[in-house]
Amino acid sequence: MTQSTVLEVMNVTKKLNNKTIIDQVSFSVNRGEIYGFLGPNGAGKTTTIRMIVGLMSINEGDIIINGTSISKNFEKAMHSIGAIVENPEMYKYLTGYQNLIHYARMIPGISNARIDEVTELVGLKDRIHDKVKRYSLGMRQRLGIAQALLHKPSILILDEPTNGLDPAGIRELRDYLRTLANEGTSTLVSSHLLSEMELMCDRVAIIKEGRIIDVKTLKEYSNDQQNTVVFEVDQPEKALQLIKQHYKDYDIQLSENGFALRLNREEVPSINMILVKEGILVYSIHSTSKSLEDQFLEITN
Amino acid sequence: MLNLVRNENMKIYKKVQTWVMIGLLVIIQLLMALVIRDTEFTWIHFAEISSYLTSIITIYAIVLASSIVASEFSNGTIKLLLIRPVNRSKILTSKYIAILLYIAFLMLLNIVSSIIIGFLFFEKSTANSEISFISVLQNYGFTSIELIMTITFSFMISSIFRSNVLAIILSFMIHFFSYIVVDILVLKDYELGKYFLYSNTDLRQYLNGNEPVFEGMSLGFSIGVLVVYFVLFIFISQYVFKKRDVSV
Repeated sequence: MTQSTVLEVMNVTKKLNNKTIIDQVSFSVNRGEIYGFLGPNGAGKTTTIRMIVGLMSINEGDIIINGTSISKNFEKAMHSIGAIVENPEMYKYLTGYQNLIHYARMIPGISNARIDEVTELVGLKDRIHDKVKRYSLGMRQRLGIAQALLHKPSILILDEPTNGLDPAGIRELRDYLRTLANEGTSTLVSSHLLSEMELMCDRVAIIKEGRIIDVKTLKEYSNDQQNTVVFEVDQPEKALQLIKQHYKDYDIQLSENGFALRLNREEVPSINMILVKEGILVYSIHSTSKSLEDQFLEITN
Repeated sequence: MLNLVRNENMKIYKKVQTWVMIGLLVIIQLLMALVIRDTEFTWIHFAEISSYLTSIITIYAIVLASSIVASEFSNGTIKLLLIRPVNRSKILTSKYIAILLYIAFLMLLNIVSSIIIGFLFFEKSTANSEISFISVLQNYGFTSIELIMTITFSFMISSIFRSNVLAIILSFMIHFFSYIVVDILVLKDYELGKYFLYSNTDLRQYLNGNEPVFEGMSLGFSIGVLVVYFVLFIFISQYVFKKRDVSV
């Protein structure tokens, strides 16, 4: 475990009623990293997160947070964690402020000034003395973030944080997590929505049936593959024959008004030049890169 | 620990039902005073009669004790409560202390308001009163022992069953049927009945001239039985709460 690792999940296994729910899961989150936890519903995301925050026991393996094992020293390990597990359910009959006081009292050293600071940070200043039952879902999410940040944790753990947020709220959250990451606070965020993860995370672990089947940085996701490039031309048949002479090993597909093939970015101008020289009119050239979604479906199915 | 108890107190006193209960006790006493005014009653008589209102406090204690843990599960708030750097056993203990404090407060309120209302509506001199104030307090003392056992039992039910409603209903049923069970056991002269919790909760059975419900029971025996049950209830509550996987 290196100095820059904030969270380390080591060979964690969870069994419920003799059924293995989580099977030897290992991964680690670095300081200042936004780490995505991606998988279909029921894959074990929430169970894993519940084990990290101490809501569920671990059958095998261990979880280390900032160098402290949660099974050996729970209280110390939890000092470094701030979390929302699914919906941020607060005490509805208390005000937002009273809720924050409640959580602040459970950790030594949180001043009232800090409560005001996080209130300001999540933009709830005007409504903080209203009862939580009068809050919208978005406001509850913000209050959830506020309680998670009270004690300046090293890592934020958010389980499906975008549920119930409108697009503006999601964007706000994303920007906010990025700001925190730049200040050194890591985030572990789970979701089944790929498009969100693509915009939010540095790295993504894909979990399926209780196992991690792939971990990739998002740059790898878009760069390590050739793109499929579509050429729209006036004489598809002729163009196809022509390109086949030059690129014998390529798998070229003919379509109604053009053809498509997989190639590297640098090869696109060369093909265009061949076509133009032979008098074939090129109307458009565009590449269709595979989205994270396609890759995800490819991996999980 | 102090902060945890303050938290639990805040959650109790910010609920409307808490203040309804406090108001209810005082209003019932006032109504009683208005009905029995113009009698030969002294304030001690009134305090004595008011001490029977503890049965209302018992009912409320059951509701509160059976919901204080289960409601956190029902409302989902348990998740944000247990991810703090505080061991679960401390959280559970703080809840238990908070209930005892609140019920002690209700008992005290009942005593104090019965004395004040007694002085306002009834004879202040105690010359022709055949009961002493000490015996009234004694009555509260005995009731408190029953109350603590009832609270501890309901509290255990609360930490075993995550459903608020189920915990309350179960606690009530067991509480009320238990007294019937005692009667049946006595009727059948079933000797093991003396180890039954509710055969021992009322220590008034050892007061001068009273007979214990079963032969061979003594004050020491009953206290022993109560302590064993108490430790068992607390142990089960803590064990279940500590081991529980939170999946709400």
